[in-house]
Amino acid sequence: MLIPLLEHELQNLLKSRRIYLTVTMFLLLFATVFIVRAIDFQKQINQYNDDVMLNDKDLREATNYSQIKPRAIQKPIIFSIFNEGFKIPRVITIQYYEPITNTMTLNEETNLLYNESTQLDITFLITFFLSLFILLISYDSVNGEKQVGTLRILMTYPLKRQSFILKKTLGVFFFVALTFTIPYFLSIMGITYHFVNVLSLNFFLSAIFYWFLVMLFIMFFSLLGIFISCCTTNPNRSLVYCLLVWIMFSIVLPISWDYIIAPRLYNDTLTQLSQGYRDKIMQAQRIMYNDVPDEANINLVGHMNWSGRHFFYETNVAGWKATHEQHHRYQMYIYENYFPVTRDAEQAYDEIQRKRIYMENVRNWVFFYNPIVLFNSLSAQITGNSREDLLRFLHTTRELRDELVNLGVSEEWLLDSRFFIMYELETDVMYNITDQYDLFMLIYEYAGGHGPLEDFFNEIGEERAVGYLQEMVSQQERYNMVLPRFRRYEQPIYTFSEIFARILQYLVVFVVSILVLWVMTWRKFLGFDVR
Amino acid sequence: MLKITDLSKRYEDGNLALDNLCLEIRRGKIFTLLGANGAGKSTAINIICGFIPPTGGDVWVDEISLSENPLLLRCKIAYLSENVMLYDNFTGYQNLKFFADISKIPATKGNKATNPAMKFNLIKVLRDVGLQDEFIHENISKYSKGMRQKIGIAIALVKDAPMLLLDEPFSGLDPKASHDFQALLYKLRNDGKTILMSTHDIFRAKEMADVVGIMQGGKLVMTKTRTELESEDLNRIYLDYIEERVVMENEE
Ligand SMILES: Nc1ncnc2c1ncn2[C@@H]1O[C@H](COP(=O)(O)OP(=O)(O)OP(=O)(O)O)[C@@H](O)[C@H]1O
Ligand SMILES: [Mg+2]
Repeated sequence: MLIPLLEHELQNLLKSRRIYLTVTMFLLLFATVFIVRAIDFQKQINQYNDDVMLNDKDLREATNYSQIKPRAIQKPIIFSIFNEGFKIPRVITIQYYEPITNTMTLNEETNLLYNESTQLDITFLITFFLSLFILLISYDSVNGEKQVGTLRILMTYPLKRQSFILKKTLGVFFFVALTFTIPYFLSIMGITYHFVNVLSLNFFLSAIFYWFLVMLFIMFFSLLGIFISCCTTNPNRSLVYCLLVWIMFSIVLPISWDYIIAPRLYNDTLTQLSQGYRDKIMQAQRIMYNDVPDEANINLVGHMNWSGRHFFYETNVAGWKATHEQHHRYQMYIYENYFPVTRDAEQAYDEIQRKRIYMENVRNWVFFYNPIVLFNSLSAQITGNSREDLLRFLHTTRELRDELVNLGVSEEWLLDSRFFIMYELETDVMYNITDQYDLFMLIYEYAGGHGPLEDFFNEIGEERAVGYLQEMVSQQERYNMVLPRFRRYEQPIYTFSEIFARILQYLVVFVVSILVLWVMTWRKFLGFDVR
Repeated sequence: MLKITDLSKRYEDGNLALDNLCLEIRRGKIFTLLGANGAGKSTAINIICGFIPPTGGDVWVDEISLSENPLLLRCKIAYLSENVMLYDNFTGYQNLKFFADISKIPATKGNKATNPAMKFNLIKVLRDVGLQDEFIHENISKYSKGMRQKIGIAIALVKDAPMLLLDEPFSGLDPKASHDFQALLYKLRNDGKTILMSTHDIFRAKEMADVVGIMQGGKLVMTKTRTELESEDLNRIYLDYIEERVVMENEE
């Protein structure tokens, strides 16, 4: 019985003109957004490859502890073609003495209360346009049929009222589902063909799960439209109601929550947190550059040393041993004073993120009846672009940093780097090597080309210079620098059960709201005047 | 066979549209309901069709009760309204096909589900009700009212229900179409269908009906058989009832 009904409903939908308009519009939008995002993804992939190459090269060529800046690089997530989720920094630079910073992203983010903006991705199309499209199809599906008069004839057939509602719902559902499913799977085929080397099982898993969510979404909105259609006998009026509901769901509620209610609730805490974070960063900067005690202040000494002239040579350059000791003191000072503060700063940053996750959860529960909000958060979870994923990325990079500190950069290696060899030079011999220009250039390049070396070597004398050069070569052989291993950030590969566990609560809400809406709709239709 | 006992309907606004209506039509008879506007004719038909629930009383068609088995009762009735409206995007044939497809009688204890419409050749039915061949595969939007009426009766035909409920089926039909339609109804009656028809056309009511009933204020105030009416002026009687002369006489 249901099959001829359904067949009829689908044919009926296919034959109406406004459908073509909406379907064409949706397909055009879908295709445009998909192509734009696929091109963008290709760019991201290229950028990623460049980043990796550059990083490898930098590491290979690094000869000095201060040059070690490995980066944790996140591969672009292929599913981001469909859903961007939150903006996640793809590259985080790890410096030996610096906290993990991605100065651009991190600092920007902490200053903004709500940094998510609506992104033009497929999820946005679905929540914004497809919902409108569904409502435009279904707003008159019941009262329109009454107005035409066919409902009366239909109601003289042995057909339960639930079956009629089911026919209507499934009709709209299948129709919209098809309009979505066909381009969606076509685009997945396109991705498979084009990006086959970056695909994983995870992608297909997510794709299917995402599709399933969209189906739930379509079901919800089909029911919503039909429910509204049962509420009034006048199709014009139900059109207005549908538009109002849509504006309410996709514009008014999210905006009023984000810009009016949530700031009232969370503004203070977040401002406090981000102020705390900024304070920590400032404190760390002070410790590193301003508060260094004199006996550990080798960096500043060294700096002045190379940038000044004779005046400083005599006063500040310490001897070979003394320099090492001073450097060691500086290192210990950093370990004891600077690192704890940067760890605090990191924790403050985590705290902000956790607060945001909390806020997002509250938002999801406040909007539990609003599938648009749910849908956005669900797809962010699936695509690996949620705030939890951002935190996970940060933690992984910190692990890498700790590894560097603990294993990769040994003190011995640091102390034997060529930079310090130059400190051995004594001012009284510098005057004697003016004619050793080639040797001077060699050492000059070796030392990294710092400016006032010329004067230095004017005074050092050939004998000493050759001696130090040989010393340098032997040092290099003795402590052959072993670079710490560089690690790329691996996207977590979710198993089905993981995804499921992550979003189960939301799924339950979604399904329950669909069921409630279904019951409400057919109960409403029981009292519908079919004459 | 149709039996209505003490059927009453009070609308939500307190309007008592049917006041203990009792009525019985035997199998294979045409019953025409006369009555002024607002007498409750449509309300009665709507209740039988299940469009609106009654506030009291019951309806039986072939021993199936509306209150006990509303779904099965719908298999027993076919309905034709004053203005047959169909799916505009479909052709006449497709409309008929759709309604034929859903005329299935649901399975009951001991009986399998059957579809009585299956035994009809739909094209032939459309020809039988007088639809020109060139319109059979034409969109409904191009049909005139009379042609839609023909599709409507074809739909009622293939449903193969023993009881036909017609609410002012002649209104707006031209004389030729009315004549054809009347002939069709006679044919149906001869096939053993019971027909309940509301109308404002006293002449046709008298000509067609086996029994004529007059409704007034939600009550059946008069029933007369064809033989009883032969020597009487139905128009006169109708006006008497409508203007409540009869009632007033009774009261005096
Ligand atoms: N939905 C409704 N709500 C309230 N009252 C109604 C409703 N429908 C009809 N009525 C009232 O019920 C009474 C009977 O109406 P009904 O349509 O059955 O009359 P009718 O005999 O078919 O009239 P007509 O010859 O004009 O078709 C009228 O008084 C009418 O005003
Ligand atoms: Mg009427």
